[in-house]
Amino acid sequence: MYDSHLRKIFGSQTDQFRQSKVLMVGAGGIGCELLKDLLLMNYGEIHILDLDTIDLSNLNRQFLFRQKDIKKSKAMTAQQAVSHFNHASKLVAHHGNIMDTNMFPLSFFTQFDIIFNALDNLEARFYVNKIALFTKIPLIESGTSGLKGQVQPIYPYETECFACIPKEQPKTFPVCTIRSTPSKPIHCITWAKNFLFPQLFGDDVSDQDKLKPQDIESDNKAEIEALLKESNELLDLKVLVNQAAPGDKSFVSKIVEKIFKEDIERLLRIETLWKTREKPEPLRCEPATIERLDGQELWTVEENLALFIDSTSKIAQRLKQGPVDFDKDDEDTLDFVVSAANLRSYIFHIPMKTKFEIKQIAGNIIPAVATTNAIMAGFSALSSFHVFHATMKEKVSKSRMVYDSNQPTRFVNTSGLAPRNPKCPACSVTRGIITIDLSRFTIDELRKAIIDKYGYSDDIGIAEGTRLLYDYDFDDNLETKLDKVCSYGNVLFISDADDELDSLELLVDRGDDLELPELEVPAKMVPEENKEEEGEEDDLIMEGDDLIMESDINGLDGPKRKAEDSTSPVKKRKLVADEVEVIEL
Amino acid sequence: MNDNEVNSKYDRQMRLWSSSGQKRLVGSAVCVVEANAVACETVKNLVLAGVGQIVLLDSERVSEEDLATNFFVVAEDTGKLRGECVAKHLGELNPDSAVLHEKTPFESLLTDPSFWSQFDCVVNCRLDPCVRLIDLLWELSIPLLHAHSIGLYSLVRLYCEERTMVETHSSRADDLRIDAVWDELQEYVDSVDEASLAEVPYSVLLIKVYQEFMREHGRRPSTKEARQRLAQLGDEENVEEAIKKAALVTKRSSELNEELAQLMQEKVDLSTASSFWILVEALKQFYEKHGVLPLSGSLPDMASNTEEYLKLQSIYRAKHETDKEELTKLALQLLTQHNRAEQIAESEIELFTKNCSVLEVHRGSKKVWSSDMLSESNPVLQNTNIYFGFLALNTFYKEHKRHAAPKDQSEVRALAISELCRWETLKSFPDGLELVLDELLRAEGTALHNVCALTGGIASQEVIKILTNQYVSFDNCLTFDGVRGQTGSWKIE
Repeated sequence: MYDSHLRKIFGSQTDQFRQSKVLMVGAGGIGCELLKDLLLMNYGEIHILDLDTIDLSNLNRQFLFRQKDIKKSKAMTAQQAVSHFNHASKLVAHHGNIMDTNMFPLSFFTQFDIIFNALDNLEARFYVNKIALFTKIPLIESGTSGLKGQVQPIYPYETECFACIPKEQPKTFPVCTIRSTPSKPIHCITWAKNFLFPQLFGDDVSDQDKLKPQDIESDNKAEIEALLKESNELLDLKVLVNQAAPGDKSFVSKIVEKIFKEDIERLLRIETLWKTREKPEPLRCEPATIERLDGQELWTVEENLALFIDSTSKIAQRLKQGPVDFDKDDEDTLDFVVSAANLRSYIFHIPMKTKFEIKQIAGNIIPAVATTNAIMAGFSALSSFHVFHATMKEKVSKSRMVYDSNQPTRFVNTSGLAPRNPKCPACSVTRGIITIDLSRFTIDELRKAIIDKYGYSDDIGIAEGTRLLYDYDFDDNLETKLDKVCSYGNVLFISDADDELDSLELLVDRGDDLELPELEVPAKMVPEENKEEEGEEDDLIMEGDDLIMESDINGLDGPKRKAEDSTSPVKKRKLVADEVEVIEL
Repeated sequence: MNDNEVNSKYDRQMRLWSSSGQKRLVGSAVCVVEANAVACETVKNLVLAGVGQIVLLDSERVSEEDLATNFFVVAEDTGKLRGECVAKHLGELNPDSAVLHEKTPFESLLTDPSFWSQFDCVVNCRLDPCVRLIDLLWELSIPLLHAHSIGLYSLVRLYCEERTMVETHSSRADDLRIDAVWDELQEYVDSVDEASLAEVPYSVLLIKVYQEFMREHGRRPSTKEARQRLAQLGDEENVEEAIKKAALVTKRSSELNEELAQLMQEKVDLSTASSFWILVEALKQFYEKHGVLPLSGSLPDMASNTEEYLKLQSIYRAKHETDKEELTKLALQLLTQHNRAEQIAESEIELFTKNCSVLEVHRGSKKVWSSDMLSESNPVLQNTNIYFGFLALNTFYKEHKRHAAPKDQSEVRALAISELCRWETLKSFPDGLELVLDELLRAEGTALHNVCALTGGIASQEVIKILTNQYVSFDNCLTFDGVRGQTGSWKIE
């Protein structure tokens, strides 16, 4: 063990690193770096958790992985890769989804002293944030996008949590824009990826997924009818795909005939759609002979058609071995989306795009590079030593939030941790952990226990997610045993129908009896009339004579905030997510 | 690996610097002096990014300190040549990148310019900034980074005579010319009648509102006034976008940003200057003639009827082409006037025209220290103190051939004062310098891996900016303060 150097800097805290168990969620770009940093801080036990496998496009930054590791588990490979380097930490790898409550019940989390988030999606970030709130474990959140990044230490209920600042929601488009009147490349890409692909290659479309008239935000009756008919016919095409014989490409021409000609002709017959729009032109061309196409170049419509035929028949054959999902790194599926999107663009007189460009949009690709990850992982690991200060006051006051900077004198900005947002949907809620044997108790017994414990009136509602389990008007379940309606890891939402006490969230953990957490449920705050002035916030900020335009990165805007001891106010703080869902139908 | 696979491997970073940047990385050679943790972390990031060749200059042997701070050595390496061990481990990270070890002592290479001239960039990771190396590379016009870390502190410094940056990736490069339309654009704007207002991109609405207001009031509208007018146009998506971007009506197309105005005033000898300066002079002539810069030609994504958007786009593109041609002619004239035979590549002129409003030039300095840095008015005084602390420790190390420790406190303080007095008369220690020195002494020259990784991250990021000649680098000194979790950067003139 080589910790004499650590001792020089950290003194007796060095022993605390040694005695601590930490969890690292995500073994990707930031994760690989962070793992190395944590090992050399001599943490006693490090758990590495990731659900993903290694892909070629990871190798430019995830330095623990090699060409030969492609398709292997990230968590396991990372653990093995560091094993022959010198370190004294115990390592445990978990290949799984952090949100899987069977694999990772609450008791899994409570063993850790610190959680490090090195994730690439908002959903998992929010989930771990919530776990941190339930368990009060310090969470160090991090993310990068290109040359920008952020690190946010979170001390649950003491400082701003991940949900305190609202995050930008994924952009959505009306069904009609996607299905009948596209005007931008992204509409065609969305159509190809989120509509056509699952229709042709997805699992059997259940009734629930079928397009219903009320989904179409259109008062154009003819348009609704056309779209419904189109959907039904696609089901026939799916049969063709499923029956395709090896090497047979003839079925693809039927698909081309329908989606690029007949469907367009049908739309053309709805004249009201084209009063102010340029009319689409049904596809009339023959496929080119293609060998290799350069993804950086713009392809001709004939080349796109050839690739469409080629990729469709390849995917049809692969379906015989098992399901095929769209994946930006799966060449066949990407080729399909690129060619289908471009053909549709061509029909609607929209500029076509290169494969490189479409990949970025369809795959929600966020640029990533080793350097930024190294910087942010370094900040993240360093943040963790403040967790070991004796008092909460010290922990909070010494910690720093790190985010990217526009100021030449800062390189990155840091600021003290902000207090929590009293209106935060996550950390303003009273919550605790209920330990219970679900098979022993009924909803009614739970209801009575809650009312007794916290002083609610008789009239409470109990819900799990969006499912109502009980309220005054819905008492059918009162005598049902709880294990029939919910399971361990679920969160129960208790609300006061009389609006006297605040709501309460209870995380269900396995136990032998029924034990409710010691909590004070505060009186409900009367919601203020909040009519905030609208529209005065400029998207453009004047800085001297320059206009700083908001860049189009998939960053999320936080509030304006003053950087520590900086001379001029910071422009806008961007909370960066590694990957944000952009398009959903 | 075929091209396709190479492209997929570097896909996520090529979205930052495109295939042209990647090509430059592949064709680059970098020398890293010393194979300590900061060096290895820097090299790791360069290897991953696909830099073609990296030479590690090191003649030390692997010590226990290395094992404690450097991830890229293993226990079995103890006592072996350090550069050789880490070159092997780092080389394994990416088969596209050659990591070589050079064991010739650093000092003896200082007399050999031919060794250094094979590199596009050099990173010195020793404590000593080494004035001889700075001078040598300055002469050779090779950018030099100095990066080092002790305890919770680190520094990164760039020595480079001149950096001219075209592809700055500034989001300000778009120029819609709301207040300076040309004939074709005016014709198009006039052709848009009330009935088709909902069909056109927001920039057209802004132009209409701007011109209307000018006619009525003889002055340009404020953002608020423009918003009020736009609000009357309805609630279509393009109107909403226009309202969001209303501040654009206040932007004067004729106005140059300060850096560019200064750039145009520079006196450069055009008979020897790089093509960048020829183009700047051409730009100046263009601007003097037209009162505006050549058009960048790119139109941001805007809500619109596709056909109208495409029409508008082609108008902007055509204007861009015309402006570019004129700029090219001016540049060619300048070349002829100065009896220069060379040509400027079309691709270079295209990039220059696209980015002409956001060009940046950094002029570096060879000075290791400048006296005005420790003044009270320095906004990053604490960071400057750290930089100075490193210099003081270096002086101590040179004298004693060992790292300063807490017991050397009084000597190091005295040393720091005498160093400071060489440049200016000081009444007292700068605020906070004593604490910085104490913190540095506590570490006794040892590094923390964590801080090294962060520092290597910053250093490699700057190397990549230099090699690709994209993005704007820091200018020209930076320190990291791990006690306060903060970076600070300033310029040594």
